[in-house]
Amino acid sequence: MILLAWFFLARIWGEKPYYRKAIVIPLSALIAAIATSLSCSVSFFSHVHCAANRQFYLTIISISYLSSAVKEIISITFFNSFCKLVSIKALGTPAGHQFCPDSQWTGILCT
Amino acid sequence: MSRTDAALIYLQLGYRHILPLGFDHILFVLSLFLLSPRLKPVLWQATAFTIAHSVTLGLAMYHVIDPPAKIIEPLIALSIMYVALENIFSPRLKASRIGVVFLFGLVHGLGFAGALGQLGLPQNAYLLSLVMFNVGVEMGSSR
Repeated sequence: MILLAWFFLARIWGEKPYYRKAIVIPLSALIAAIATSLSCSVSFFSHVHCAANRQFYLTIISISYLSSAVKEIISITFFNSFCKLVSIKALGTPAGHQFCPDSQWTGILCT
Repeated sequence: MSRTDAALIYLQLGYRHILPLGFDHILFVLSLFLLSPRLKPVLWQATAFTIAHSVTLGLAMYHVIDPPAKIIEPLIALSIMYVALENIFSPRLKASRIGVVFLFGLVHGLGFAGALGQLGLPQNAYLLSLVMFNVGVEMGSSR
């Protein structure tokens, strides 16, 4: 259902100029971060019985938490930018502002 | 267990292995969709992935190959990471993507085999259960 919904939304957004920068890159970054977190956790759990070194556990746990933190930062940053862009597109730019020419997808406004 | 019961049970198990249990496989399939929303490239990639994971699932379940899960599971996560990073750094879909997806499909098939190996297959409907598990995986992936 998720993929089907995504497919139809992509059919609508796919031709838009902001599709890659506003959708593909943030979503892929989020997926890559989750995959990093997954690879850390599966590596940790598959080595639980063969690694008796406390330092090893701490390193893996630290990497896992670090990747989770990066994932959160990326998702919040891109989500905020995306929401800002969508609201500006829907409601119009505030009085006295316009989009910066090179950064429309981030929703950054110039005076 | 009758052959019909086995078929239905393994269809359901294959489906459940993707939804809700196979979060990593869902992420991989979603990554395949992202770079090009056009139908033809998506179908090519989905076909390559399906053929590849069916091959390794079959080979592993007939004990032709027996890779350790501690290697396969991190490889699956790395395959998701690779496709996601390719989406970020490559502006358009390359022809080599089909080969990459096929290669990763082989790895994901070994992941499915690991899960199915833990469940076991009924001896009176070994091939049928294997095929139905694979069909269930496909249904879960394309849902």
